[in-house]
Amino acid sequence: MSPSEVEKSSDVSPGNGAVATSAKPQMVDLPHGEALQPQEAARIMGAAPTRVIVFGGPYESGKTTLISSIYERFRKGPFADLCFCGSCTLLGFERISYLGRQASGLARPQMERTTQQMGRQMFHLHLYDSARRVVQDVLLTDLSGEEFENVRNFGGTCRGLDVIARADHFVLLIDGAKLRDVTLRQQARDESCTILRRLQEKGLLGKRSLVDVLFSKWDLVEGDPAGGRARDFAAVVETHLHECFGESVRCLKFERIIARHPDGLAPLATGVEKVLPAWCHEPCMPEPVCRFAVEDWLQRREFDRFLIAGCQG
Amino acid sequence: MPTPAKCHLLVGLPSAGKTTFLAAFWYVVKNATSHDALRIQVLPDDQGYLNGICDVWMKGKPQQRTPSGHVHQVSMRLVDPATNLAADIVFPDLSGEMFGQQWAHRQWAAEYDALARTAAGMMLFIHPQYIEDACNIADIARGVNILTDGAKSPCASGVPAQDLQRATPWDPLRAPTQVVLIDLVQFMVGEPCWLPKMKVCVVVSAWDLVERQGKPPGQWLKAEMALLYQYLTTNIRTIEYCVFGVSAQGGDLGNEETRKLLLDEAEPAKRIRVFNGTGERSDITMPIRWLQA
Repeated sequence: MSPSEVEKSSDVSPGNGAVATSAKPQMVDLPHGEALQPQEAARIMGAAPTRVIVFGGPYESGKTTLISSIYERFRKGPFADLCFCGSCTLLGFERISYLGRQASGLARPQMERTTQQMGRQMFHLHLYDSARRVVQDVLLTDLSGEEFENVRNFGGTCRGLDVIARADHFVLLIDGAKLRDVTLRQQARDESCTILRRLQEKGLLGKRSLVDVLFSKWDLVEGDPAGGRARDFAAVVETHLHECFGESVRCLKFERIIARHPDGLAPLATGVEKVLPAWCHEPCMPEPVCRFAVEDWLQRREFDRFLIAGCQG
Repeated sequence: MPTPAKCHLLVGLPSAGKTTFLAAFWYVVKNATSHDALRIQVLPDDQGYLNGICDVWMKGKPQQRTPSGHVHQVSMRLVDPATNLAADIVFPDLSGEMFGQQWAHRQWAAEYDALARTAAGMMLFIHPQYIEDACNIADIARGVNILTDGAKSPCASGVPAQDLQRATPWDPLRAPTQVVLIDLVQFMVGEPCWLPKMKVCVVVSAWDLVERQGKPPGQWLKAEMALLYQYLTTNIRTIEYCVFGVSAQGGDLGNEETRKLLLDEAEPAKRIRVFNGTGERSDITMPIRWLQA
């Protein structure tokens, strides 16, 4: 850390008990705590095996809300057998969670839209799995609605989406609100199908990819007297996507979630507990393993062979 | 022979009870009020600041806020009567606002940085009355729903989406207390200090206010600050922690009757009450002894 000089120290009184000093001498920068840019995230990925989870979906399908709700859920206690172990993006989490807080002065929880101009924002969680007794770094990032639209409509614009190729899990959100509306539900099915196909054609998803499809805002479907039709349609979408992509990716899963019920009638991140452990445990690619058995490696040197022979008596 | 000076940081947001703790602590070590409490070996030359805050404490008055921009660096040589070993201890007493600024503006003073990098321990102060919980709108809606037995449901979902320009601008200083405290600890065990191991003594001050809940301090922390509790319990490689409930004044000074009773006590040190998982004592040096061990 390079200290940046602001003002010289002054007013240091002698004595052994209490020394009052001016507090604005030199300042040292601390980690910014905001969402990470990819080059900053690379430091975390370089230091420890890290799961990268990428959320994609159309405008207002609830991608950032989902990221915020996972953080907010940990604020209330352990979640899905996972405990919060730290984060270097706490300020960033606070920023995106703010419009769901009473302090915002809003009467209904809202979320600021992620735009392409913001750049790729990655949120970090360091989690402890109490069942497996391991810690895991997880990076969560979402594609903006614009990016999603561009990929859907123009294949040439996939260049900024390399993060999907690195993703351990690609999570596609389908807006549950659209499934209730007969004029929008076909579009919801079509755009999810198109985006998966496009990403596959561009080589960003493939045989090794782990894909989760989440039907978001499921409270709207459950709370709708005519929600049965939306539920049936979701099942149709599920079958259709399975037929189209079930064989071409390593795993395709479906789940219904309520990231944040506006009236708090469902716990935060309902349904996410079924997918979050897999996001932490299942890597897209197997962890690197040592190609040589340690003994083979050691026995290459005469002195090591001597030591091993000595140990074996 | 004294051991090399150990620096223990007193960390907490405004009105967390840092100065009140220090005032009561100074009184106890200076007057050697109990057999097993730490005591001062040599009175420091300059005791002005400590005596000033101690006078306020003895009068049963609340401490003035530590002025922002000042670091009162308190150093003293303490002796443990059990072992007869002396140790130099340094406590930088910063205003709570400065810790808030560290979180919000992501800078700290170079002078504090030098102390932080050599810190052996940290006392993390939490005042149960001054916890920013940052309630979610949805939680409040659910609470209203429960209180009105569903008569007012739906609450938030019935409200149309509002213009975000009308929202009160985000202020990082209003972030949840536990989140700010976690980041302050992360600065120690992570970037920029990278201390390999840190003792963190959580002091829940004004413990008399929450004593009625019947939970030991550790359980109180688990219930009220779940994120901080998870953070402390899962980072066992870098953090050793302990939770104390401390009532440095002994009761609510705002209540005139209680104040009178407390001031009637001939020995002010007997007003102090310290709780940990095993019971109640009146030795305010217990948290420091735990840090020193």
